[in-house]
Amino acid sequence: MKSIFKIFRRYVMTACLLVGVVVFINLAVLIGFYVQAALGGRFPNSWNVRTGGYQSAADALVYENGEYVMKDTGMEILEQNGCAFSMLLDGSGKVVWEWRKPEELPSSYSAGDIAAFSRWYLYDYPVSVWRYGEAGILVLAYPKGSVVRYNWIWKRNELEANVAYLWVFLLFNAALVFMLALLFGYRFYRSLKPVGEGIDALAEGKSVRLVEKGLTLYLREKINQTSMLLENQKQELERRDTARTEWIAGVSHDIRTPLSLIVGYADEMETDEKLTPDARQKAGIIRGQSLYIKKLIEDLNLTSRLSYRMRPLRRETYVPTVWLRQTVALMLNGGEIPDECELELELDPELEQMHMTGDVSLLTRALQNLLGNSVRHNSKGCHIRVSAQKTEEGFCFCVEDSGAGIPEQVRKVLQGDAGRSDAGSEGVSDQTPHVMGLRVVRQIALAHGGSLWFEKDGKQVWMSVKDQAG
Amino acid sequence: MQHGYIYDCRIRLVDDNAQLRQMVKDILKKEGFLHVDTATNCGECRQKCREGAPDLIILDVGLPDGDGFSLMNEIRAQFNMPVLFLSARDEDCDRLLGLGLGADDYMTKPFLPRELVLRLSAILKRTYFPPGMAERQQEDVLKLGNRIVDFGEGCVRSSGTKDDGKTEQIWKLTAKEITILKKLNENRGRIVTFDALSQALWGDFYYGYENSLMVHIRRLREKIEENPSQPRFLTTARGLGYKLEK
Repeated sequence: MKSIFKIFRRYVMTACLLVGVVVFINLAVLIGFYVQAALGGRFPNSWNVRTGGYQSAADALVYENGEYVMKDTGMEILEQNGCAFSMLLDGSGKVVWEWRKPEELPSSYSAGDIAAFSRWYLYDYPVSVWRYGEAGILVLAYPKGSVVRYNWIWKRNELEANVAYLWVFLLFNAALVFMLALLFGYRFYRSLKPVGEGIDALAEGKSVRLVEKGLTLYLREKINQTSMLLENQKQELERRDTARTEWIAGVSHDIRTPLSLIVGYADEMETDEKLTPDARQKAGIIRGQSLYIKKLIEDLNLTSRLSYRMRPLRRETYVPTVWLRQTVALMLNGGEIPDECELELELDPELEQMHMTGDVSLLTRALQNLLGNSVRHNSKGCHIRVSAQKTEEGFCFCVEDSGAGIPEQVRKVLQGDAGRSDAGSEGVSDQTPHVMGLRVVRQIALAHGGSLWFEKDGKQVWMSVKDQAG
Repeated sequence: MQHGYIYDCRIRLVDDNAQLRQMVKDILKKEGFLHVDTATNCGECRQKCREGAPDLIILDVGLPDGDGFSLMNEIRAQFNMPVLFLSARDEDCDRLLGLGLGADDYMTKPFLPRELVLRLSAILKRTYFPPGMAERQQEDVLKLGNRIVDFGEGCVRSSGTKDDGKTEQIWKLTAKEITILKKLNENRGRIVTFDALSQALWGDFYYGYENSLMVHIRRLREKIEENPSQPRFLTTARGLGYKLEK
């Protein structure tokens, strides 16, 4: 089941591609977003990016007339940055300036307090400190819970190793995704494989019975149902075909005895010297036409058997040239080709050494029908040329006559038949020409892996035959 | 068998169709066969055989109370007479089955009465009148215009006599030439393919013997034809074979 394996392979590849595309899009969006935000300055509470703001606030806090005063510009910065409060500590930790400082906060801080809140929180307020002058510290606080503030400390070698681990991690993830895709894909493949095999078997006309389980349970049920449906239809068709073939065989059998009487008595009358020449001639026509009916019945019987595959090939070995000469000679000797018809044989010398396998009696019938056609449609006589040549897989032969050739309408009907495997009467209207003899020839050609075609406006009828050994 | 000739042979036709029986009986009588009787089915045929066996039976395959093949086997167990099947079954397998079981011929309906008579006569001649010495002598000589082929002597004579003032000429025939002439004579009036002649001469396919056959034919014509370049008897069917004209 190559197609199912292809589906599996495509599924795994698609899954991997999908992961790759999603990761790429994420990274692209993230990087794009950060770059754009950084350039546009849209990080309202960022601790690091806004350092410029703190410096400006520190610059706006000035010592005038023995006290510290924040200029309006500094106030604006504090407001804009959403500060909850702010204070300035001197070198001893004492608050020397404050802005909106909550009551509960002390007015003096030890070195330990300063070390603690500079790293974490001051009374749950996230704070930021900025060196002010030589020894002062400007403290800026944000509302409780508005900022997350943690410090991470990395050893340099660990940090570098982590970057390397990041690649390993990414690779591992990629491998994991691939393995998972492979695993799920394989499970799906295993489940789908019998379904694919079932479809293949159906396409080959075989009966299918799949175990109804697994991921593809519904599909399997449907395939089993289709198989049963097709099987029933096939049996029904076979029954109908058999009935039709048997009916035709029966009719053609039953008609033979009455036809024997017609032929017999007509033959007797034809040779009866007591009758007038006119009556004898008419008797001769009756005999001839009755024998033609016999041939038509044989063709009808044969075409029906060949159509419904009830006439298997009876294989035997033959040499094409020997067979051609023998058949033509038999027809000449039997008077089937009258003296008015001039016959010419042109056989490829390469065919003399060729040994083929096929149903000689069927092939003989085909050649007899083709030669019979030329004779029947050229009652005033004609030149008939039979030629044969070697092909890659067998040989082909041609019957050409100097008459009018096969009419276009007949050729069209036969070419229309070519699209169908059988040659039933479907689609045959009153206007459709009756081409049973040629249809039998085409069926015999098909049964031998060959074909029937026309050239030179139907003056040449070609039939190819392949070796049927094995 | 104490018959003068084939027309004295007793022939029995077994067929369930009364009109066909009558027609065949009439045809055979008209052709000169004196003893023709009929049977409708297997039972009647058995009964009549017990009363007196014929010299040849013409059997239909599909009979109301059995098939012709079984009936032939049954009759053959007691009597050894030739059987010709005349059946509406035209399938190769039926024909092969009939002939395989030992039938002397198999004809399918509808048939030409003249063909039936010819085939029937051939069987009777073959069975009861094998070529005797007298006939052989007759057959050993083949007359082609004013040339006489003597197979016994293996030569061709011109039929002129000393009285005519002409000298009788004799041409010796080689073994191959005799074989060719015999084969053509057996099928006189009909084309014998190159392949059939090659089989008769060398037991092989025609391929490789084209020139040899042509040379033999040319030499043969020089002996049997007045004008070998425009043969009157040994004619060529172009691309097919040769024919000994009647």
